[in-house]
Amino acid sequence: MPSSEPIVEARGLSKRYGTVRALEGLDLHIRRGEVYGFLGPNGAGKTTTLRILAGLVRPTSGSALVVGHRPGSPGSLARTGWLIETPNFYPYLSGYDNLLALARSCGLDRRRIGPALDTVELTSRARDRYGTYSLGMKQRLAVAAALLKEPDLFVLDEPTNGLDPQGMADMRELIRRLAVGQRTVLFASHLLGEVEQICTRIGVIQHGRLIAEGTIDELRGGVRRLWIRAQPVDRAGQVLERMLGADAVAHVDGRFVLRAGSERAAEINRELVLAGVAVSEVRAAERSLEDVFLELTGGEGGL
Amino acid sequence: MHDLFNSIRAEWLKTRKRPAVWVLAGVLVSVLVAFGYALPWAVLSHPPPGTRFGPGTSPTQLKQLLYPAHFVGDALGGGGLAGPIALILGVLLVGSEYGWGTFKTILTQRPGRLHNLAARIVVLYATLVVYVLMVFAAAAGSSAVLALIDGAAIRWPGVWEVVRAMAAAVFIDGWWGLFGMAMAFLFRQSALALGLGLAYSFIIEGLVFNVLGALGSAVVRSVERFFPGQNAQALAASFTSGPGATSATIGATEATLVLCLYCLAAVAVSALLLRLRDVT
Repeated sequence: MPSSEPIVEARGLSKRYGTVRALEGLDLHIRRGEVYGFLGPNGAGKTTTLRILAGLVRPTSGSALVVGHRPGSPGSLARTGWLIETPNFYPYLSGYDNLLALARSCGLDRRRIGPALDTVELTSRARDRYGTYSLGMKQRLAVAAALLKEPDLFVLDEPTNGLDPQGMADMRELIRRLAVGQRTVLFASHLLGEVEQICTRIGVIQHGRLIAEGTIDELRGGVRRLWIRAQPVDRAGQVLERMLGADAVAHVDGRFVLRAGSERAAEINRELVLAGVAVSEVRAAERSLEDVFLELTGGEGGL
Repeated sequence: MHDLFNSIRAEWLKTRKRPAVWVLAGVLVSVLVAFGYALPWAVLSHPPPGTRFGPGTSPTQLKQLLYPAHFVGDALGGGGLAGPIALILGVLLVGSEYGWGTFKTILTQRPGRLHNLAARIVVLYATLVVYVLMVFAAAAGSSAVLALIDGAAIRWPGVWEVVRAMAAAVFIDGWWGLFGMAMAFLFRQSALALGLGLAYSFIIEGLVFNVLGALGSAVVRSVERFFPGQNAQALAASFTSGPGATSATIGATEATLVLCLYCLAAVAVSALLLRLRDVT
């Protein structure tokens, strides 16, 4: 359950690369325990934001705190695990030795390496050279590297990029396992399905600005719909108007479109059946995250 | 201090397990043994017909320079490759991190950027100490073998002289390594840093000064004292006994001071570039 304690706070972050404005006054507030989806088209500024939070890039203006510390400071890095863009390790070292080098640089006990490798299911290949790993294994090793520090915050930037469907499913499962207790996951992606399946709250970024933020339900909006096919139509219409009001019922293309959430589906079905109406279909017609995203971004490509 | 120690341990693990580091050492030792000992000895033992030696010198006298009493000077030069190999090592220790993108991985761990740089410098010098030990061992071994083959008496230089020479070798190679590191930080890659670094080493420091210096140009002599390669050569030459072995223009103390300044400048440039630049 997310707490109200902020784990990432960014105010007015801006970044310019020459004449290119990568970020424009971005505000970000992520609470402890959230799985926060950072969604945006390619080039929207997601990776730039994460690089600033990691201390790899300095903002042109604005400020941020990560786990209560300045980005890139030892206090912040010690409690944060990062996977930014592609996994980057030493190709001539084994997976184990790569983790050992990272553990040493952080002053961590090497006994943490085994459990981290177990979690990402890489133990059997740990002694093989990293250069021989598949992309999926490289991504998993990067997650293991992030796990080493037993961090409060995981920052994962497009962790399923380039993975096959099975690899993507495995990675999603892994991320779900990471997000336990008061651990926070900041998950940047342009894949809406992934974000929808994993995240508890979402921020949408476009042209370097946060244009929407909220839970998936909040972003979909309060107005939800049910589609119903029922016979006879006139009897069904009377029952539905009595239950929901005339304004909430429309008959379009041979089916009723009701302004009601899926939690009322069973009740409506029962009333219709009791009134002698045959119900052949009841379906929730909520706006998908994709609909919301396309509305917010004006259908900008890159998805 | 604890962070620095941790970073050094991490950097040392990466460096000692890197095949390229030991390939460089192998090349350095092989070149020294082949071209510093085996080939000169073969030529002097079986001089081609018509070969003329300088007045008052004979193949037997020249072969004395290959025996243990003179191995320190040979080892210091590293067959002429010690500097460039150290430069390549310095470039590799930094430039590859940009190529592999591993700076992002390292800099998102706990230690700060300057700790990481300091650890890299310590590991550079540690690796150079290993190189110098290998080179001195190879030179001592080769010189002893040649003396035994020729039935010559084996006289070793004093221990203190050997230790001083090894320290000087690490110091000189350290400059080239730091120069390589600074070039890699500057260009954020290995290829350009290597190309320009080696071009500078061979063309400016090697060809230009040696050719123009041989012509006896006063201008060249007054300018060369400001260049690191010339000071490195002068310092190395101060350990070489024999006719014409020492530099007439730059003394060992002056050479040491100038190289110190260049080392500090290289570290400062590296620190500035790593500290201030974005890592993308």
